[in-house]
Amino acid sequence: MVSTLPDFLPLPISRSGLERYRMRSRRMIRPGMLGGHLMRRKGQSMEFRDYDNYQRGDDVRYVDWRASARYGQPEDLLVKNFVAEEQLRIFVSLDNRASMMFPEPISKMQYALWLGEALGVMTAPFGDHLTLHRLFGKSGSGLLEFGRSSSSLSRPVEKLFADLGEHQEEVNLRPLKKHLPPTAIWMIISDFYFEDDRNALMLSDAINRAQDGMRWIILVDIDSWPHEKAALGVGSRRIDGPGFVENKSEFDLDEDVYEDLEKAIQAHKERFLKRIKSGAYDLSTWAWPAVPEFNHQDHFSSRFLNEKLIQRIFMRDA
Amino acid sequence: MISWLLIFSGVLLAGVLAVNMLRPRFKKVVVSAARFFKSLPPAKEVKSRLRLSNPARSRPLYLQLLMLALLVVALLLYRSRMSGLQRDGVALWILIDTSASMDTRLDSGGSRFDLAIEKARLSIASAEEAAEGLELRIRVSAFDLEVRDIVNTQSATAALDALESLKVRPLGTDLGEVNNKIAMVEEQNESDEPDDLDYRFTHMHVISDQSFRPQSINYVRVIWDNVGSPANNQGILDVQPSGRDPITALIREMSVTCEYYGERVGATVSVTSPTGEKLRTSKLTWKRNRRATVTFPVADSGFYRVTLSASSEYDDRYSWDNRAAFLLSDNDTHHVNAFWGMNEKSWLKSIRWNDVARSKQADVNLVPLRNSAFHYSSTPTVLVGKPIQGKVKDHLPISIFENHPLVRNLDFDAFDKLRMHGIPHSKLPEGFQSVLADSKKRVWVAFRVDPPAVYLPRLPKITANPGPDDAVSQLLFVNAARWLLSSKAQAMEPLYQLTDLENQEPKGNRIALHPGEGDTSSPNPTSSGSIDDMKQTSLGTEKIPVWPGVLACCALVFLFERGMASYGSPKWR
Repeated sequence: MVSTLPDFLPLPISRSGLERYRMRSRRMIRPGMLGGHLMRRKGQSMEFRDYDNYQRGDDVRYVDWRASARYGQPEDLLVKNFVAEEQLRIFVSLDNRASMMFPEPISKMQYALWLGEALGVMTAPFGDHLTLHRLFGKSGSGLLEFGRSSSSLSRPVEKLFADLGEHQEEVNLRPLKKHLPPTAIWMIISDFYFEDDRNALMLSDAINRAQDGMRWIILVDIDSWPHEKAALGVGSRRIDGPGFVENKSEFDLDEDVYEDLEKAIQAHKERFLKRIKSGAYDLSTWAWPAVPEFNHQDHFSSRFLNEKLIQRIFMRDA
Repeated sequence: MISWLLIFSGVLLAGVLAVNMLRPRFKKVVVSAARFFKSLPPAKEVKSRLRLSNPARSRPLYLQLLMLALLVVALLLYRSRMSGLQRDGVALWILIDTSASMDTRLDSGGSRFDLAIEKARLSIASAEEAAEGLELRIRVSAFDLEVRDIVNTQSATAALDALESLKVRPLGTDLGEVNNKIAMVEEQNESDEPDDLDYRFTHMHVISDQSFRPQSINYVRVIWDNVGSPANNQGILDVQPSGRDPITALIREMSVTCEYYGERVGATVSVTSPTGEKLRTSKLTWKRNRRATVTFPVADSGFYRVTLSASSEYDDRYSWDNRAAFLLSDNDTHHVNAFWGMNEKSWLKSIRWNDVARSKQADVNLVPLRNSAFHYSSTPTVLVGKPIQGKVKDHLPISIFENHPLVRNLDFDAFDKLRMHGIPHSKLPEGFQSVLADSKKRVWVAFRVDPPAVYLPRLPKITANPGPDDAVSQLLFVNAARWLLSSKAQAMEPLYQLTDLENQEPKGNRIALHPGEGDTSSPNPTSSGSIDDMKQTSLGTEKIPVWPGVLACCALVFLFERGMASYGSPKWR
């Protein structure tokens, strides 16, 4: 089935609201903790933030002897804390296979794009990098950088999907080498309906390798099935959609059939996840409401703002 | 027609809608997880949803409605014709006489039939020439007692070949059949929209030894070739019984009537008995009406053969009428079971009827009029009056129903002179009609059809020297017995039969003495038209019926619908 990129809808969350968030990695950290698994030192500039009691292992060079003498107890030494001007890189891979272009009229791809754009809006004001990556298609292309100068997806997203090439089903892993440095966050947004083929194997291998480089792997499962099931209902249906053989498309749908289907979908996803090192990634399932119709914008906003993983990465300014 | 069509269409429409209303309807849904449906069992096609709802608007429904519409259109256009191509050329129908008389030999040595075939060949050649490469159609038929098609072709060669298969049949001629065909062609040619193009001809060529009978013909050129010409013929005209036993009605004498045409020359007739003996050889004496009759006695049952022999110097051109045969059947003697209720039984013995008791099944009852128990018997009954002695004084003229079989061969003058007593009609049982009565309704002879009964005034007496009244009584009795027994359908075998379409060859007592076939006089042989006049004309515009085309479209739609249902995508199911 041929799938086309649906019309891109504006981000349903207020940009000004998103811009109040900043990455938690910008909080005050001890100088010795720089270069942790999330961040990487960049440059030499360091800004004083506050004092803290000396702990074993603190660099004695940062002990403020004068302040210790003035304010602290004799046995207490005060150590200077600094804010490091570290820039974080978030690499967001968008699954662009045909199944992501459904359901209609609001597709899973729309959710993925909204999520990517929201992350971009949150990271851009502080100079952090967010790269949108087209997971399938012509190898080597399909990247869209978010920065201070480009925090909207309205037009650039078309470029992202413009050059798919002939091999639309081939996983596009080459950009990872250059744009996914150690300590970066790699977020993969997909429905995980991958075919059990070489591409899925390559992708799982790439995820495993990325974990070795102290990267934070976040899998976001856009699960529209509850909503689609509610829309299908019970009865005779002629099914169409990506990856389907047309000469056997009429089914009598009932609860038993749905039970079988859900088992099949779940087993399929688990087969892929088992290939990834256990416990070395975070999985967030964005299940759509089990109703035939709902307000996608409201649902996305609510889901995004309450997403635990988002809250782990970002914090709202006081 | 229209009302039936509406009912028929309505039933079909209701059927189509019902089938589509009961079809499982598959709502089309596009889902992202469609690939996981591959492992599911497909829906059962026959599973129906028994609920009233709008019919599923599917492609099969539209196709079925289209088929229905085409079917109705085909029925509506049953009589409609559309114009085809204008055709020019020559369409010739040759009808050749193959009756027995066509065997008559000509002066040239051949027969009339040979001449007819030659004329047919010339006619075919003339038609081919006149067609000049345009359409040529030749139909060859033979006629005698029927018109039978030999060939209907567009090839002159095939038509000529077909002539070879023709031969004379010893049958009579029915020109009425030929005239009917001419009338049919006339009708088709006159019509702008002919129903049957097989009867659309530009020319008809009739070749016979019968003369053309002028009739009003305007739309087809009829060429009538009379190949007959005067010729010598002596032949048997008829064989009939000429004498019967007055009481038993058995044939005792036969007569042979002969006739001659052309030259008057002596001839002899010889009769061979069933045993093969020469029964009689008689020299014919021709009378002024060109006929001669020979009578001879017959006694034994069996085949009798009659042969007419011309003198050696006579050239008899027609031979089918030179022999005849007849069968004198045993059945001619009928043994009747009668309930004889009269005292006098000598008459019963003299006619050799069987006397049976009343309780047994009788062929005929013979009882006095006064015995009312037999007045309405279902068995044919002869009611006999009581003769009154002495002659009637106030004798009135009798009213006679001459055509009735009861009085056949009766000498009415002799009957009148008898002056017998009649009885008032009111004394007869109900339903009787008078055959012989006077103006005062005194009845001598009467009959009733149902139940069959005859009233006679008296029975004949058995005397050594019967008088005129006894002869009359005998005749009336014989006529009455015959009429009553014939109502029991005890028909006697005919003496001879003529050849017919089922039995074309003379054999036994089946002979070829068809009336008129031996008449070789051909006094004024009349022909009409000439094959030289043959020319090409319009064969008319072909009218093609519309309904087969519409029906064919319907069949194509049906095939398409079934084919797509079997091999197409689910949208076609």
